[in-house]
Amino acid sequence: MIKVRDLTKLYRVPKQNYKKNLKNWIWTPTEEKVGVEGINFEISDGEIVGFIGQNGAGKTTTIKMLSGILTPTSGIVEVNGYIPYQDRGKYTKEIGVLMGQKSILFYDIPVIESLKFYKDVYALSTKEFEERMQLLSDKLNLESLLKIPVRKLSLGQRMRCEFVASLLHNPKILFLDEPTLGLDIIAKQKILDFLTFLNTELNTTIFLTTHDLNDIDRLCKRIIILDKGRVCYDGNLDQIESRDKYKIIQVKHHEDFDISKIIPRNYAMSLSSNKFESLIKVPIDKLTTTINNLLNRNEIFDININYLSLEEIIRDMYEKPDKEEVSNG
Amino acid sequence: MVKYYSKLLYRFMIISWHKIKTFNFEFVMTLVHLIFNFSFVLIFWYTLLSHIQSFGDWSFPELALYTGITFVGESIGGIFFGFRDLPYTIVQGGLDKFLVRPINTLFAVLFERVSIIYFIEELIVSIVLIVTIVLRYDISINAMNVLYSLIILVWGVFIYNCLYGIVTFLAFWVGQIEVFRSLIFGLADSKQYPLSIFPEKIKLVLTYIIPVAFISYYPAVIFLNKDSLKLDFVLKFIVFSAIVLYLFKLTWNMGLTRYEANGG
Repeated sequence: MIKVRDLTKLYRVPKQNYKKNLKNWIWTPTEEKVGVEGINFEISDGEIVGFIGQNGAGKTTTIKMLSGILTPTSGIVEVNGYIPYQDRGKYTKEIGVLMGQKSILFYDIPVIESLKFYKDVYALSTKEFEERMQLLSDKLNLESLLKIPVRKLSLGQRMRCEFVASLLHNPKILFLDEPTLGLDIIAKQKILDFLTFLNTELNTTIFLTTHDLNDIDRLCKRIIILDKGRVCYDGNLDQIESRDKYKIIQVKHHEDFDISKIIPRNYAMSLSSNKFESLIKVPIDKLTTTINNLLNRNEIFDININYLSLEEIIRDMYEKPDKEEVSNG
Repeated sequence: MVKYYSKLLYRFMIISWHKIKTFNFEFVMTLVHLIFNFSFVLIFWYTLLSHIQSFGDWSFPELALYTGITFVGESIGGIFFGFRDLPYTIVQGGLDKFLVRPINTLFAVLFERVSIIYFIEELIVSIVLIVTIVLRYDISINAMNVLYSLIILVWGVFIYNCLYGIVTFLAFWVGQIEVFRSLIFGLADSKQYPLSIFPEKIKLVLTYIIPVAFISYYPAVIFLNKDSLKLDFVLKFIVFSAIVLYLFKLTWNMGLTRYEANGG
């Protein structure tokens, strides 16, 4: 169980404007910058929660406070009864942390040596280690990589090894920061399937940040959206208000057909348009009218109706001038 | 706990060995570098002593032995080699991977980069040098003096490096600290020369402020039976050590709360 109450992290950053004098030149004045401010949420055992936000929204700061790396400026963070930054010794045995941008493997030596190192870090017996390796190796096709030095691995191969190193001790909670960053579609699929396996078969709680909203869509039932260090949405993916209110119509047309001329501007919105294809967003109650309207045009030769993608919903949320904190928790 | 960290130490040694074996040429060159280092210092003393009768009250065999002991201290201090790059690691957010694992972060950071094999190599070469000089110049030693000398050397190296660590931990507050650190610990170069040649005030600085004398001079004079330890001096050093250890723990713990885990 993860409990976060009024969690705030302030960073000290160099001031942008300050008086230029010798003292300030040596000791650059600093000011406080908000990493996250007053965030609240709870996560139950066995949930997969997607943590979404733009660059600098505070996703990584939050995950680093949850995993005990950062000490919060104020507020409460409690995971499985532990205060992460105070109870590192015991707490870290129960969690697994993987950061897509930071490797935990030793660069110049074969993968297996890094894994043996983490076996000893987690004080696993040889039997436990072999059993875990068997399971993880099967799931992530690792066998052929074990004797290769890390520096010789491709990004996808390395990420699979990073996963194994982070999961050797069978953690109850997994914190993942951009785990699919830079992976190709096959490697990404393997990782996502593996995460689903961990959650469904082993009841692992997964807390995931990613920029790839398709990952979230495929993996998570619940999302938390951060904006400028504050939670602006916390709830089920299906219950995002606009998801059931709009549809996306993909229109294939003849060259340079200007679709904006035929859609009613008071409710339909053109999202994108190129030579042969346009995307428009319409409220669900106007769908039939719009489709009928489009079918009458000879320039149009194909129409597809889609759900509003998560990416579009999130973009809308960020573009709204006055966001209110919503919680469907 | 001891078993746990012994296992990890063994694992770090294997990793260090694998790293060295990856680049065989580098491995051979570190040995050559080590032998060059020794030779240059010995040649320096030999040349100097061929122009003057003695250096302070030190003869060439004594100075050669002094050099050997200094190098033993340096090899033991190799354990703390990780302090060298620690400011960079802190600024780059490199502590993350150990902070989320059940391992002492400082232990892991110190041993992660250290080339343990190189320092074992240095230790072996230094001991061979000491034994050779003792036999070649027929220097009389006794077992108790050797033991005392070793205890002081190990403890001195430990305290000296704790002090070095305290200054290094300032990186949590100010970021890059290397120049300031080398400004202070530049004094450590004086460990190549016996403390007795310096004026009284400098001796005090090299004993109680930056305790360089404990990583070379005192172990050497006790080894050679040129001086003995006085009780008040030992007590003063114990108090000094206690203060250093307290400040070491304090700055590390306070530093961790300031850690900003940059990157990612």
